[in-house]
Amino acid sequence: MNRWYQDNKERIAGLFPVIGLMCLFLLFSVTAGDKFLSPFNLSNIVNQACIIMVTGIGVCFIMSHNNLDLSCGGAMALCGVITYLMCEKISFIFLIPGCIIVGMLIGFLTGCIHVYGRIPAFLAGFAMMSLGRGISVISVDHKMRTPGIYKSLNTVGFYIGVLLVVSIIAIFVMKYTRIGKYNKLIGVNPITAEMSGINVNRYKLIAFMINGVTIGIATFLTLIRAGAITNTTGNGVETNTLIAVVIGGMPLAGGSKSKIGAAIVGALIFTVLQNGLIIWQMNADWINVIKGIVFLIIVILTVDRKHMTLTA
Amino acid sequence: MKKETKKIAHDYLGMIGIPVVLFLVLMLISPNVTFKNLLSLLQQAVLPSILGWGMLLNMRCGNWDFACGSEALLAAIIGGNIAYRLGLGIPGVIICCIAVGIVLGGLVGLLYYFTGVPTIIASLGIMFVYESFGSIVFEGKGINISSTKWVVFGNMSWGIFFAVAVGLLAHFIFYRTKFGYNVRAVGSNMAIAESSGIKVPFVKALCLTFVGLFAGIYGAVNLGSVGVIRPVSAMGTMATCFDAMMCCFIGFSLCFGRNQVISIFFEAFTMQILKLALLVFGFPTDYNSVVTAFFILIFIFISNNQDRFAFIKRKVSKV
Amino acid sequence: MSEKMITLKNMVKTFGSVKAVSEVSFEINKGEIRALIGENGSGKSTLSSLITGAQQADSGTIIYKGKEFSSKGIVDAKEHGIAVLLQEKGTLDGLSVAENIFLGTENKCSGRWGISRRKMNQKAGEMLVSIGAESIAPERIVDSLSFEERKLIEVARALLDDPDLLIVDETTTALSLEGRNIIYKLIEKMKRENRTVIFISHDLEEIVKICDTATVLRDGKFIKTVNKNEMNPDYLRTLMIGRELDGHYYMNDRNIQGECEIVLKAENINLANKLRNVSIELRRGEILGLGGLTECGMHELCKVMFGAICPDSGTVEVFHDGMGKRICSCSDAISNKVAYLPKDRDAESLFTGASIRDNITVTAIEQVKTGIYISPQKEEKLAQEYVKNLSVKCNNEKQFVSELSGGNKQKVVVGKWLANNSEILIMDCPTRGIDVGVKKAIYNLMEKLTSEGKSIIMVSEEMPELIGMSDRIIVLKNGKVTGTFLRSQRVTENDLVGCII
Repeated sequence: MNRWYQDNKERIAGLFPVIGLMCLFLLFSVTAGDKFLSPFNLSNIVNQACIIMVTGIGVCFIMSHNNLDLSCGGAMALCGVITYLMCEKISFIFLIPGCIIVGMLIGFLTGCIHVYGRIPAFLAGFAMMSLGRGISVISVDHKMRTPGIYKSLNTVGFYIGVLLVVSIIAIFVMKYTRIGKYNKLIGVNPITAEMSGINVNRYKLIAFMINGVTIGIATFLTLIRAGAITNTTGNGVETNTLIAVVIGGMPLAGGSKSKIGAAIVGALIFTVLQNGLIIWQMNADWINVIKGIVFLIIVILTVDRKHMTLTA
Repeated sequence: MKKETKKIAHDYLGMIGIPVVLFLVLMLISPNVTFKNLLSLLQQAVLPSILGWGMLLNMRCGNWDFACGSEALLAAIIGGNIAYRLGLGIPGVIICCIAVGIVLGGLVGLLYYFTGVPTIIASLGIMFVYESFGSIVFEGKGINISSTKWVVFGNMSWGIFFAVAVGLLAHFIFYRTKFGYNVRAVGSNMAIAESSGIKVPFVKALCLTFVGLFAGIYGAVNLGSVGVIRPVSAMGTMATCFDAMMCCFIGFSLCFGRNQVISIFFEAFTMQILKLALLVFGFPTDYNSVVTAFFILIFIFISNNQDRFAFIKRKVSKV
Repeated sequence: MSEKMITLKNMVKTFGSVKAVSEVSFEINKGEIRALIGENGSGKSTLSSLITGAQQADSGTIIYKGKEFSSKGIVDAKEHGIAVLLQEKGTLDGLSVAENIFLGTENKCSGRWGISRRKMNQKAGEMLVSIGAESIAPERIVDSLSFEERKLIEVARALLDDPDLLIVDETTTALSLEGRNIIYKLIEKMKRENRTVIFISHDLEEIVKICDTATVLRDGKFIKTVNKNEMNPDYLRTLMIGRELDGHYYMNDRNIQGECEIVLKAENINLANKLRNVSIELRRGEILGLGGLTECGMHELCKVMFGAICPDSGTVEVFHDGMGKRICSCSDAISNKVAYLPKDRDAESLFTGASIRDNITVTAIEQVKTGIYISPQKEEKLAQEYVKNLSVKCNNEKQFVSELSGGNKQKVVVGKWLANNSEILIMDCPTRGIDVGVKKAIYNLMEKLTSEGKSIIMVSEEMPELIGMSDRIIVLKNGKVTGTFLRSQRVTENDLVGCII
């Protein structure tokens, strides 16, 4: 028994978020059954979860090498505005590839600031966030509405499709390619990584670019869901993503326990919690307080004090 | 000894000289900028430097504190409302805000001390909670004291008096207490500090608490100069933190000034001039936080890359 | 005169399975200057840290000033009048000299309004004058001071409380004559005041000159305490060495046929004040031993050869079929089949928070992937192969490395480099902190590897190991090569010690 526990310790720990999700789901099904389990509400949960899930998947790559990314909300606004302005000049056919490429470039830029400027990544992210926030103000006087064709994509099926594709690719990259492997190892010990012939800077940059791609996809999803870019596009996404990913079981210090599953499960827990509390008719601000407290409790329970280097 | 005096003169000249030169350049460029602006800029520099003094403690001992902005906000809302409802007057506002600030900062400190969660994570989580809490307490209306006669900090003489008082307090904490010396020791090298008998986690937690004190003062002064404070959400208090951090980073990267407490004020002043310059050049105020963020990047870049600059300097001097 | 300052009784301290200090007992009188000598790893520094309480002893008692004493840490010891000067840097950058001197004891400078900076500077100035370092201004920032001046600041800090017992742990090695003279004067002053000094050094001439008595340690055991009248460098040296040499424990003698080709060559390496014009050649199939004191520059030389440190001047080249390739970075070295097993395993060559499998396959990703896909099955097979070949003791290859013992960790490191078919292995203290059984396994492995045509550079701080394992030994002292020995010459420890110290 003990031996079996030793061997499967990791797997058991990985189950906790899933059990948590099921408990939450049961709790809300019992207490607010008809409202909570209505098809409309369930599709609503998927719609709400998918943006956090996509950004969370990108953030997992950054966190795996022991960094924090707090740029995604602002970066989404930035990405949206730039792509929109470009597409307006050329054609809206390029909205999807445009979002992805611009997002990737934003990620690349954040990564360069961190890697070559030797600036802590979360500060580089903050700078990017405030840039995005500032620029999204343009959208107030310049009406940025998503063209009609894309609105037809606003269906649960499309969201689930995107999610499936993104998560399968991300899981593959994280588990079965050098990018994921090396990033996780850099998170464990950057000095050993360098001394084992891993080009630390390059793989960190790649992680930032992957994060950028997911930001681009999330931007596109926001565009079709909200129907426009406004000055609140992406508001709060950065904190929500961080909270979701941590609740999902992503270690704050990264390393070999990093997994994409954390983003997927975490985003679901996060949205189910939020949705259920709204159905309970709780005040939105109280919900935020609860989210913050849950985040802190999870951090306190899971933080690996030995490997934490962010303390600086 | 003469060399020493020269060094001190050089330090202070840099500290005061840079903002003065910046201001003169600005005056030359724009006819709208006059000496009158200088006075109001000095006054505007008071607020960020109050929080900057608190932040200085944190930055010097290696803490990251993103909660200070929300602490200031919440302290003003709670402290202000208590004082307002009890009719305690200006001293009441100040005392209540400070008391609430210390409690709020103390909570971050306790969280760090007892759980060992990295300060950046602890303060981020706490910021999130405090911001939402600001929208809950007192029906989410924030605080409005504009109908009373308590809005006095807009007044020049009051503002300066207060700045000097808080500056003296900061100076006392930083240069005249064992705690201040310990903070600098911890920031320089934790391991050696620990082996010299300094309780590193305690000092770091105390720093987080002291930020609460300064955040309380900041809240009181802010309330006393604008009269109305509304709750903010979605990391909106970050801009306040950035302003405070920026003061510290300008100082760290340019290394001017002997007394960091005094230089924080001049750095806040420099920052206000830079912001004025942006206005003069026609940047909308929406970009203020963008510009602050990028100035922070530039200044951290300078302070984190001293070795590269030294290398370039050597190469240039060789040529 | 015969009053006892400190008495040690049966002190024992073990790290893992290694006995760093075993059953050491001796006593030191008041007003005595006692030297503590021994080879690298003989337990001198551990013993001093047991006295100060920086480390806690497993068993044994210390009687200090007639009372049983057990310190909780350096600070506690300081309060009881035991001060220590360490080898490592102990000053804080960015702070002034005075702040450094009063570190942790700032309250001594309280004025009317809290701590007075003026008073602190004044007191620090007096302290510096009293130790003979009046040239250092107390208000200066320590960053602008030389290494030597910073050491003197630490001296001032240590003497602030007028300690009754001062431990000087290899402090003088790095100092110039002037700095040493200051410390000698202070030691003599302490002797006159009937206080005690424990002086740890490798410089035997220095010890004979200033110390009253010398205690010799070997392998953590007490060997002898020598009085002033019998102290001379040669005698001390013979006491220090003399570990038992069991021929079978190490490698059997062998003949390397003729002159094999050179596989690695380091030429005229200079590195700050660590290495001076060092040139080394490594031949195919040999074990080249590098020996010397810990700070002689041999560890840095390894890093230079692996490309982890860029030397100020000089080149490192690897030869494949006569073609030379320069090494400038770690990835150069790895792609040219050079491996490096550092002294600090956990920090530099292991991902302790990752599985054994990840650790072994990290350098051999090419072998386990098809296209961009890394096959977990192939990874597992590769890892299992090395776990089995090296007989790493573990539950399975998914176990985290942090859960393994020192010896098994080292095996994982070896596995990591063998997985990528490295031809040249630079091993920095390969048996450090490893118990006897695994040590033997690693020696056998080294022998096997070289017989397969791989070449090894082995740095060792233990002389028997160096003599027993190397085909050729190069000795470094203060960053310079001071001697080369061939195995066929029947090297003795005495020969080596002459070059090392």
